Amino acid sequence: MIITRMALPRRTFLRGAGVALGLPLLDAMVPALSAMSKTAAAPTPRMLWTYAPNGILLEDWYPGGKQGVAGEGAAFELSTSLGPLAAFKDQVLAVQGLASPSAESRGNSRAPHTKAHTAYLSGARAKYTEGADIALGQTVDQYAAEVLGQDTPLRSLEIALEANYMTGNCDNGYACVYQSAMSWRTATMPLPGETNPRVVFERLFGDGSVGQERLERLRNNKSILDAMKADMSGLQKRLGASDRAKIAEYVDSIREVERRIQRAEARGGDSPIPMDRPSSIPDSFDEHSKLMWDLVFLGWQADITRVTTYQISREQSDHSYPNVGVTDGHHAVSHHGHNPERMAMHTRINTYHMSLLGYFADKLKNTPDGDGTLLDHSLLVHGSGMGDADAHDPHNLAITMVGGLCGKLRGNRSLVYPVGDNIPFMNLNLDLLSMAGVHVDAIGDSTGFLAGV
Amino acid sequence: MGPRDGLITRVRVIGCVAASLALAATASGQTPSLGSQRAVITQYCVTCHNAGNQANAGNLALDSVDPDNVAAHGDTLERVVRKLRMGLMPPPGRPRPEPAAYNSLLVSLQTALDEAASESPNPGRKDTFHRLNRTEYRNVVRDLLALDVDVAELLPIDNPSFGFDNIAGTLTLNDSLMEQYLAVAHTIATTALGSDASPAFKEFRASYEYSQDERLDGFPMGTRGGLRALHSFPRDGEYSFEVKMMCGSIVTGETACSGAFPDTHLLEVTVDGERLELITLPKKGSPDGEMKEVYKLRGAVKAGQRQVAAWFLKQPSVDEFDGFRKKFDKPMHRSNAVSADWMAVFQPSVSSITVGGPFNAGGPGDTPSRQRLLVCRPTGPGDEVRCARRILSTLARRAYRRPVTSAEVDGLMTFFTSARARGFEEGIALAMRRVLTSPHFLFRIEADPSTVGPTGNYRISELELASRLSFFLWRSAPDDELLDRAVNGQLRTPAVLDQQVRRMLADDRARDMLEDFAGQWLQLRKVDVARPDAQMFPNFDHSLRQYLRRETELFVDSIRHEHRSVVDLLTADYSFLNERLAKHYGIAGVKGSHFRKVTFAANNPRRGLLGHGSILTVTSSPIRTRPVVRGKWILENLLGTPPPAPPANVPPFQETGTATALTMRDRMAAHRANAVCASCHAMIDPLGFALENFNPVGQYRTVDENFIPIDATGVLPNGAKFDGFGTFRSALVTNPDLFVSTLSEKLLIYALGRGLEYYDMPAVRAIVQDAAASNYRLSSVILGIVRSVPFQMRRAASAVPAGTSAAR
Repeated sequence: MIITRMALPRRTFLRGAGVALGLPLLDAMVPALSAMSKTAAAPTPRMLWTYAPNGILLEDWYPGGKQGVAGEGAAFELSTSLGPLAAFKDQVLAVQGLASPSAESRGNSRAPHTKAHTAYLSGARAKYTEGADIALGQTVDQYAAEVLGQDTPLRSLEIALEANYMTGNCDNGYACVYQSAMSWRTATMPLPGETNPRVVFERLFGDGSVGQERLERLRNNKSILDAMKADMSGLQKRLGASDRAKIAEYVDSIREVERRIQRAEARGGDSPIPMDRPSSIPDSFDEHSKLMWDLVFLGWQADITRVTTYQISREQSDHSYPNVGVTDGHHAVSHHGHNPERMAMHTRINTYHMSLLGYFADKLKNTPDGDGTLLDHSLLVHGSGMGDADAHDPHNLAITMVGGLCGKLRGNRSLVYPVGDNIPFMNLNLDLLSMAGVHVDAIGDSTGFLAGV
Repeated sequence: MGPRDGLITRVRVIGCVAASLALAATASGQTPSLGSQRAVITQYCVTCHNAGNQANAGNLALDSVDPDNVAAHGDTLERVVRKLRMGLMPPPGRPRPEPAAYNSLLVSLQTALDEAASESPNPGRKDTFHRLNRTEYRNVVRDLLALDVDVAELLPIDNPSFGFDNIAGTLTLNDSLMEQYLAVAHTIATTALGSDASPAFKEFRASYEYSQDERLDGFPMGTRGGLRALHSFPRDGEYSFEVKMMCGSIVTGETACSGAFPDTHLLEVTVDGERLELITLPKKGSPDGEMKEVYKLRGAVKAGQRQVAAWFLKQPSVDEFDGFRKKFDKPMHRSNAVSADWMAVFQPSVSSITVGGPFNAGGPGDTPSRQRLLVCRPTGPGDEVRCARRILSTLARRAYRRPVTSAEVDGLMTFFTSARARGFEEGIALAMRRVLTSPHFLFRIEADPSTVGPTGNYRISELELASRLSFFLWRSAPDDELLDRAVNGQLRTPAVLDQQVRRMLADDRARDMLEDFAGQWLQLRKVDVARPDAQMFPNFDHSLRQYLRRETELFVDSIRHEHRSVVDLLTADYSFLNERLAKHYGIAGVKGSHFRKVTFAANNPRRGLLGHGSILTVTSSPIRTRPVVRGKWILENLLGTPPPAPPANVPPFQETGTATALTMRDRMAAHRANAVCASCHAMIDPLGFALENFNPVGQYRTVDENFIPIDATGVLPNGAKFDGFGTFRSALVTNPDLFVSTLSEKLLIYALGRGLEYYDMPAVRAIVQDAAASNYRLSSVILGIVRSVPFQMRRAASAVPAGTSAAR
């Protein structure tokens, strides 16, 4: 226990762990605690994938010129849309030319936006349905969460910004959840991004109760969960075989909440509460986004979670960005028809989104973590499921990465892969996972590890 | 088996009625069998739609369809019906039967399908688990505990399917949501009982874009602007109120209140309309001191949920003085406008109210929530168990929407007992948390009876029917009366069922349901996120956004409470306006912020839903109209004919780069130049052009942004010509069946919580035909849905577990 407390000081907001000492359950938690203390000594990687919809204007993103050049150091020039990352150039890696093969139309032209979004982190093709049989594939972040998230109170955190938007026919017969969920725990369990900062706050820090009160609440929740499990097994007897899979899924979810409560208890019930609970969704997109980044940052800093996905906006979003001089909708602008004015607007949106990533990277860079900064130990992967959005093209993706990933990833360079080789983006993800200590041989449409990373 | 046979007989009767009503339209007086139409089908359809040519003909082959055995081809033939009823096939340029023969084929086809369905109905199968969505959760808690919870702050958004957010198949549960349910249950239990007496602070903020220059909708006469919020006061006691003012502009950075205004203003702070304090905000250089940014006060408040508000008393002199500001309706202080020149602020507004407390807390009071929950109070320690059982069994019956077993109550009592040491109500609170997280509360569960074999049809239980009814008409749990009827086995008595439906439709909760339904069907929810360009439409702000939505909600609800025909939705000669909205529309003579019914002359473009700014705004981009989106919106939501997805590899539009201004029609001409595009856009675009007289925020115009006169003439897919918006609007309801059928489909999806399949279409036709007899009154459409096979029945699961298909 003393070891635990020694490992914790880097979490600046922790308010004493005294309450934990008397807990009978604590002995059972020792394995988890020692795992944690180990991670505190040797920095653990944090991983984040963001999503920008409607493609990226490649001409203004290519590092080093119109068609893009591979380069390193001085030969790696930041383009317009990479500009906001100038302060972290040493840790920026731009990769161009990769593809999302599962998003190709292949004779089925429906819903290119939905396909691009769903294939991006799964390497899989969304099942065409709006019913209970929605299916995709486990996403790369969830592979990361299986390993990096096993000791943290929150296995992973999923963020989105666009709320209250989806209504009507989302995308030609594909369920709306395909557009709202970037992350899928399993092929059948989407994890839609949370849009409300207050809810994110509560997921990270609980409802604001502390100490004995909080422990009491957690204990009560455990007995409530036991009762839920009993209800479920009662239902299992009453319902037919076709519903058993659903019940099994719910029971798994109950168990996951139980595990989370155990991890929270292991931390002594005194969780860090570093900020006031946000009261509602800010009106301004910029404020909303930054508040969410603040929350992710606090979650990472306090080591409450290590894996995050962040959907900056939704595919087909027609959000306008008057703050950067774009008064028409994003989707409309992305179909620019090679009109220079509209292309410039598209770039302004791309650049603005990149600046949000920079906002987060800046916080990480200014946070000491072990032998370096939090940014040294993190990896942020930013991209879109389409390259040229004007053509709904899921090839030649623009992938931007920031962070050192515990010294495993060398920045200050750009890599170019031949578009004609149709190399899946998922291959790159296999490499990234492996660098983070997560060993997976294949995800979705991956064809192997990527050479040259 | 008796009752089930009865229902099937009824279905058959409906089928015959449908046929005979449709027959009235034909000259022969006798519906020819579909078999007898074989030659017509071969001549006009199979030429293209055959196995060899399928790939070029919408993947539809009719040569293998046996007209004498439609039951085997329901899926295919319902697709044919959808095309024929819209007059889409054969395509333009191909030979087509005479109108009478065309209609006769359609009638034969529908009759054959309806008869086949009555021989062998398929009620479909809604998923077993149907989680309460966020709206339902709020409503259920309101009815269960007389408590309004702000679910938007507590639970995530539900992902829609088939256009609605109450679809069982996609309302699933994951660990994150489960954790939220645990937390919300705790919040609700604490709030309902008033058990937390420790002081807490809650801030309510005004929207950035809120205009506070006029009286706000729902605020008292003689007031201007302000902010209002529902707050739960846990205990009788003293509370603090901090009212933060907004005096300047975020854009210019001049936000100080001191010396900001040349006039004195009066700020009134109230709880449930009763004055807590009237604060004088001194004018610039006043001897009483300068105006402050924050005003703090305290007051005693009784426990319960109460409206906290701060508003200004209206001062006409200030308005008149303020001639410049009157040019704009939009708030000046902190809009997202791009130009700082507009940032002139003449009056203060309320930025936020923070309520804190209780201080010197008293008891939890006698709040409606406690009255509803605590149906008894223990007379002494020896009475606690009896009373707790009574409280918890009453709660569980309402929460689980069925009678509860004594074993279930025993289970709840375990929770009561484990927390009893901290007080009787603590015990109740913990058991409540258990109830509010039970699958029996969170889900509506429909179970196959053990007596029914795989894929057998059965009538759902009366309790299941009661829940289907209340969640359809109220988006909430059955009340005690409805539950009692079901428990007593009376709900299926036709007179009782009708009476219950009419009772429920007359309730305010049905108004809320229609608001929820229309918010999705008509996509009114998108008004909240519409962001018309601030320079082009400087008057578009949050207030206008609310008013646009309010107009349509009031209008849709008037169809219910005025017992009108649903066809009036497209043609009614009235709507609901307030001054601001009337001004937006250019309609004179409407004064004040309250909404009232306004009647329109025959040629007024505001008649019917398509003249509503809400719909016209959500189908536009921030800077221009989008005829394709508008056309598609009409096809999907009014005419039930969603256009297919665009084909793969469509070359992107190339902008021509010419300097001359193009009309919208010119821009869209490329659609028709390309044959692949034209096959659908010839149907979509004209519908959108018909609405071109309405700009991106729904204002009427006769010239476009380049001052080129609008041409709103066109041809409907069935060949009917229109010379402008007025004739277009009438043409949509020349045959009201198409619209009524589309609305019925949407309502049926919403009522069932599942997507419709081809085998549901006979039920839809029966609903439409039955409603025709009462001039398509909304109540008859709804009664038709409630009586329909898919609403009353369910198909048992197949022996082998399988996913549901989403055939469309």
